[in-house]
Amino acid sequence: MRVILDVKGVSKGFGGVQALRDVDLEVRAGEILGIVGPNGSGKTTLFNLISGVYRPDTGRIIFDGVDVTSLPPFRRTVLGIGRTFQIPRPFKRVTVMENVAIGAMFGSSSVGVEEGFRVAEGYLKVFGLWDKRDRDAESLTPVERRLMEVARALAGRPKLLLLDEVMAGMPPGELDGFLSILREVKVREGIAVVAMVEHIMRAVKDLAERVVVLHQGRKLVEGPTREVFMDKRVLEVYLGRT
Amino acid sequence: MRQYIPFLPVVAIYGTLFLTGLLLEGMWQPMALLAFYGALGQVFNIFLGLTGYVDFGYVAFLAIGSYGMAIAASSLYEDLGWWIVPTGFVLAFIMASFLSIAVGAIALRLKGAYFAIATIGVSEGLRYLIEGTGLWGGSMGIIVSRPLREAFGREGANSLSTFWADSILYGIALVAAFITLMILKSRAGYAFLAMREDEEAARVMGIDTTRYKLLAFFISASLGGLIGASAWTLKMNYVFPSDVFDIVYTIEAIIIVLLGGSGTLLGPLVGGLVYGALKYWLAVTFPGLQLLLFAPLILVIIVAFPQGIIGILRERMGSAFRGVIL
Ligand SMILES: Nc1ncnc2c1ncn2[C@@H]1O[C@H](COP(=O)(O)OP(=O)(O)OP(=O)(O)O)[C@@H](O)[C@H]1O
Ligand SMILES: [Mg+2]
Repeated sequence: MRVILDVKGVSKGFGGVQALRDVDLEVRAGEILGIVGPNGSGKTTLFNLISGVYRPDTGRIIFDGVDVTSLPPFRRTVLGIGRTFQIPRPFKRVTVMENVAIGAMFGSSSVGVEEGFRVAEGYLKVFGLWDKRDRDAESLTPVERRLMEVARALAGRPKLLLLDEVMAGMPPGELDGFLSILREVKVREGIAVVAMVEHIMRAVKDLAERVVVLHQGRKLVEGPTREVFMDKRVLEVYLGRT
Repeated sequence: MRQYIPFLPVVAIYGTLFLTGLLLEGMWQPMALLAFYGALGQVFNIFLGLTGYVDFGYVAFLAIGSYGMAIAASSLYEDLGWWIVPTGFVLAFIMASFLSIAVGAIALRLKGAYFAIATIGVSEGLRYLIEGTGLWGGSMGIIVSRPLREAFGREGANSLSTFWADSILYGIALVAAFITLMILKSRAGYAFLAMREDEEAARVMGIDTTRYKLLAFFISASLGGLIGASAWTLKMNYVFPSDVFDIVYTIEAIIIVLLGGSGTLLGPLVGGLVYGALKYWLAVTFPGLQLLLFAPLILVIIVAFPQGIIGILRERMGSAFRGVIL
């Protein structure tokens, strides 16, 4: 399968903390890849490097054949990288509908205002937020905010979607619904999804075809989901902590 | 057509001011003062209101525009005759927009407070440059009463100063309001909305925030140059650096926008009316004490109602009506 994202040997330090050391990552078009690892293992930092919030100290990031290592975030979004934030960052005093429409207007689809609202309507209905469309985003619950961020990112028609712990706090009943929506949208839009669902192992096992395990800023193991969760080193990292 | 409906109240209010001034004895100047504040707020709102960035050196664009008109009038009147006025506006526009691109390209990369400080520096620096080097008459300024008299005759120059200079301000205010409406209704309007809420998240959502900030800065500054050309050079017939670079105008512009409702279409107009009327009323009722009463009063209003008058109205009306009052 075609490689949509090729991360080559990236490192990133913050003062004394080395958040990532020489990490390689390949994401193939249309797959669902899970990234797991204990707290502070560098998952969010990896997303920040891919989406352009930070620049890596070393290494390169190739997206869909383009070297995006030094491109600003908005250029990467237009090329087709969409993401959510671990701590949701909705445009707070903007309605839910407008939040998602903004995602459509400026994403890789770059549509006009009317079309943006039409696209937003579709995703709000898919994620069960249609009834709250005219509320300010700050009135949403944490789980709803995460759903809205997923809708906002998807509305931009990304080729690669980075989900940073969007399933945290989701009641088990809703989780299944969310997972099946995600799978369906992925197939329909042909996007690659990289999800980190660290704390909900069931979701990773259910969703991801392949898993990468990060540990202290390094890639520990990578492989098909079943095999990774049987790996001794992974069990040590996880069971050793919990 | 429907998208132009919010523009109707703007036309109605400026039209009422204009007709009141025209038809009622002694009302032209007070109405013109309101139009000046309306125009100042409307134009400044395009930057402050849309981006949320405060330009404390904004008056520099009015100043450079007033010089543009003064240079055209004083050096070209023999060749161009009455064409010096349109030429002056073009020059004012060009000079203000060049300044805005030069300043914006550098200062707009700075965040919040640093941006504010940098812009004060530019404005004050420009003033000292003019005074220190003797550029454009230095601290003596440029006086254009004679060139304007030669080009328009005594009568013509008089009506230029007492009627046309004010009327042009109504025009600038309307143009600025119209541009604001067009921006608010377009993709750019949503880009500004997102940016004001969370600039970093907006960039991750695909918005080239620097480009939009520069766009707003450019439009706001070049229209500001036209205000300077009209309200200073054409109306007063002179340009002194100590007057045209007075930071008071920047502060008034900020107050008007915040008072009326930052980033809204009607806000700067309402803010300009309330500010102008209050200032005028205090000056008449408590002569000498007006500034002492005025500053704290304005401060209290803005701290108590940070969303401004239109902001409060929109909140009260609920989301269904938000589209009606912009
Ligand atoms: N902006 C920053 N400034 C300083 N240190 C940072 C910054 N971002 C991340 N770090 C540090 O880098 C390391 C990796 O953090 P990161 O957020 O990437 O981990 P994570 O795997 O996402 O953890 P979690 O599961 O808690 O979300 C941590 O030690 C963190 O404190
Ligand atoms: Mg994280």
